[in-house]
Amino acid sequence: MSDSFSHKILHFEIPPPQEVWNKIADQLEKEFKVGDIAISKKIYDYEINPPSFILENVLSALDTESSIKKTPRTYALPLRRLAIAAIAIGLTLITWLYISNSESSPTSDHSLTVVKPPAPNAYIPKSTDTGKNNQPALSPNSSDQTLSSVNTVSTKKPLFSRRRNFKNANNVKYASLNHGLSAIALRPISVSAPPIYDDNGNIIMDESLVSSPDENYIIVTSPNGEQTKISRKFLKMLSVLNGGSSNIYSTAESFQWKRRFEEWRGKLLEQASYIPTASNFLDIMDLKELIQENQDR
Amino acid sequence: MQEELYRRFAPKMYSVCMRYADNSNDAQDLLQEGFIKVYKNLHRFRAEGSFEGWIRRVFINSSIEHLRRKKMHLTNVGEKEENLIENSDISALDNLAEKDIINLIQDLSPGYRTVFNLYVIEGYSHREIGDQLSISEGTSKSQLARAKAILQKKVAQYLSDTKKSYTR
Repeated sequence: MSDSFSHKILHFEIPPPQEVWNKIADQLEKEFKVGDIAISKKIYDYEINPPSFILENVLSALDTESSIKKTPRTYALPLRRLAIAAIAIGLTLITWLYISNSESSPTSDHSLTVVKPPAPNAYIPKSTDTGKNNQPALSPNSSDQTLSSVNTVSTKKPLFSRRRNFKNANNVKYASLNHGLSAIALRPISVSAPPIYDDNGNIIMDESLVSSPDENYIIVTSPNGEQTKISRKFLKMLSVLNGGSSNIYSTAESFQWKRRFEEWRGKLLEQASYIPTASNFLDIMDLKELIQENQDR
Repeated sequence: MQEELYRRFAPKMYSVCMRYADNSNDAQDLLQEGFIKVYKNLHRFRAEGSFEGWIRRVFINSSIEHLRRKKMHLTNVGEKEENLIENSDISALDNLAEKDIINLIQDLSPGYRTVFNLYVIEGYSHREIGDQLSISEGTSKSQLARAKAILQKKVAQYLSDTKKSYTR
């Protein structure tokens, strides 16, 4: 069907109006002269042999143009200038990295951490404390910052972190100068040495281990586990109770008291429910109760 | 292949160039320039018409471009003057040899020569000539009439000179 349709369209004829031919005839009559056509016929196909060198000129011109096209454009690279520029860029980059690292180190490389110290009356150092035990204990109500300490933790930050650290700088808490100084002054004493025994096998008490910095108190661990400050007067008694040397009692009264303490201690030790230890002053409180009972009797 | 093409079409195209150029040197330049264009634009020929026609068109365009570079000025001829030369008959040219006709055409000024070549020899209409030369249709007509009038005089002069030379 399509063939017949296209056939019909291709061969469909519409006779043009008569005016069209009249216009064509007028134009031909005006523009085309018989004489012109004769001359055109004569000249149109006329041939003149050109000089022989024209072909050579044409071919050489074409060769030149093709060679110009084929030759890739080369750029003379100023290698010396490029090398100098590369070195300058490298030095600038290294310098910038160095400066950025040095500027960011106070805030980014060392983050300040404020550790709230324990209450001054709550710490007792142990002669055998090592590692984790060297960390100060925190009491539940340790809002008192007299013993605040400053720890500087070195953390290597990656490069280009200066801006981020600068943004976070507002979140850093700084300890006040007074707190820092007091923390240094009240730094707890921690000795990781083993206990020292005398010839009789008794532990030699090192007073400095339990004394507070001002030497007015000794710090002991109470029965509930909290560290407690008590008067230094109890130090000698503690020494005696722990089996330390007794030559500190030079006077008769002292000697008497020593004897009494030894006696009470013996009685205390007989009680199965009480276990006195060198670092635990539990027995003192019970000893007090025992003395009172004796007095009442 | 290039040489073969040249040998095949160069004489005809040189004739074309001689008609459009002022002298043989310019014609040789036009021929060289035209063939370079043909070789460079061979890929553009789509075989929709004759190859010779395509080459001829390249040469004609190249010649017109050459005339433009020479800053050819075509001025309109006055109506009175146009009526005087309207009926110029150049049929006498048919009695001359081709070479002589081309020499006479070459003696015309560039504007007359170009319009005469395009209209009489190549068969362009005045509208097409106007488009090609960026002139009005009327200017093309007047230029042709002027060219014909000059040629008529030249032919008459040439014929009389020839007669004189024969009688001597």
